Amino acid sequence: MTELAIRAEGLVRTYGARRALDGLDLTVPRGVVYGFLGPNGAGKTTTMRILTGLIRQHAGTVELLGRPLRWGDREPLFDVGALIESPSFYPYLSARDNLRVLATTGPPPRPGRIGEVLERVGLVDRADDRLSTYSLGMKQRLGIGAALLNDPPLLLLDEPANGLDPAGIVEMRRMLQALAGEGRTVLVSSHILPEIQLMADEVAIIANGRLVRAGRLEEMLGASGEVRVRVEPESLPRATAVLAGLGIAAAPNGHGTGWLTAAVGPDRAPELNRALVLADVPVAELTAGNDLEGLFLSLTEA
Amino acid sequence: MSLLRGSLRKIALRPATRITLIVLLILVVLVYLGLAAVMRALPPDEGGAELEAIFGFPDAFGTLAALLLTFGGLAAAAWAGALAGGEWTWNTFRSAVARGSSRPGYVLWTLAAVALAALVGWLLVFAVGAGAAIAGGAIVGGPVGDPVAAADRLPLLVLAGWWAVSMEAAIGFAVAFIARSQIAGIAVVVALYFGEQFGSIIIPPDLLRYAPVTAANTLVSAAGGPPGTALLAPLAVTTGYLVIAAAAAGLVARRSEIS
Repeated sequence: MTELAIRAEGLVRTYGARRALDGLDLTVPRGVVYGFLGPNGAGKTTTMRILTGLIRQHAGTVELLGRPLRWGDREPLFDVGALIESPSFYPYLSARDNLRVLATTGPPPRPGRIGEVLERVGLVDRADDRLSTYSLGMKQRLGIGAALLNDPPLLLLDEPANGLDPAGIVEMRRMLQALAGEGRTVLVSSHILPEIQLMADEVAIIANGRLVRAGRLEEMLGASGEVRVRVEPESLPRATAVLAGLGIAAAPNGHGTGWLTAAVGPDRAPELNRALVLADVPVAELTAGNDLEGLFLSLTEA
Repeated sequence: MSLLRGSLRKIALRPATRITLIVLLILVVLVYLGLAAVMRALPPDEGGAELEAIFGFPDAFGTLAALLLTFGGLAAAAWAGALAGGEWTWNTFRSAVARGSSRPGYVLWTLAAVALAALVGWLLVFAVGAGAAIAGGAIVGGPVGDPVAAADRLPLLVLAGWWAVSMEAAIGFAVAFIARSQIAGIAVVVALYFGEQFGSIIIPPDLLRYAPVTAANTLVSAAGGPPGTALLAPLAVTTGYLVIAAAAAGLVARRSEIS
């Protein structure tokens, strides 16, 4: 059994003169929550559509769970559950009937699975209500339920938290982590970066149809954090010089507030603090951290 | 077969299915009651031929089938077109494909379910229409003949009518699916109805008989006519249009990119 859930190599997709994907490579290991990030128009949804056989790639190859996916192939999709862009259901049917109809497409789910899925996404009480009476968040949950219908080892979820309230987002995060804990692979495309930071094991950041950075989230953040210190405004030049002595480039920010930002990982915060104190530069405040948002912006705004 | 089951479920539970059926039922009853009221007001020596054709069996079956084909064909095309276009509007075709469903299979089984639902609807409306014709005949007070004795012509007429309605529904379905628009299917069938009507002024009958609506009408009138009336040609043309509509929808489903 291959260790990769998804392997996409050299994906190219154009729309007229525009290259939505420009040689995108993506490798997603099994059993992780994988964040798939990029600014609007970066090619995330195009990639998702190719991975679910909805559109053709103009170049490149795709393998899902070790099986090649070519245009018109159906079998590789049998083990994939997908929520692309927005949940897609008949508004006049109930949630249960929508799942019943959906279950007749693709491979048949095991008996009783529809009830299990409705239970899992917390819609049992409203399962027989028409979908047109559902809130966006409820439709989103049903969309996840539909993706889970065949108990697939690979889930492709495009903005799954869209429309969810804060409690729903937390619930969604727990569910996706639990699904990964069961050995499934969950590829999540999302704009809610703090959520991805909380749930993802690995991430890929794409921009302009190309992979910009991919890897374990911890490692990526560890290598890209920042430490911010606040000193007396008049001590800023001396503080900058002390940090330069440590090989750390730091720049003041704010207007006379005394804040200085150093582009180093949070693991170096104690060293930085000690150096300043030893140099007789009192540190009034220190924050060390790294956030996906900062990393994302630094990689995609270039 | 599971695709057929799923398609039947989504069709049966669709409000538009019930509404279309109810509208047709009301319409056919109103038409017969209205005709009965008009004919009752005529002097006794007038309208004899019309009375016989509308309320006198066995001819009344043929008239009913022709009437239903006009109303029912348009209604079926609109209903099937809305169903096919809805697959794009609601992205349900996308969901099925992403689950690994066969693209042409999904579309063709949905079309088969449309035809089955059309059969049920056709039988129901035809039965109610026959009842309305009998009631209308009683209101007029003229000779209505014996509907039961005339029933030997019914199976062929009912089958022909269903086949003709299914063909028109298939055209509405295919056009709406290909155009990804709910309105496109009905627009094309309405255009065919009126186009063929007006076209009959300038198009020679030998050519016009190959047009879909004309072929459907000819098929139904041949099935309701005396035994030996040529059925094969209009049946072949009607079947041809049905097959072309299904094939076109299936082919487009196979090749289409789904955004």
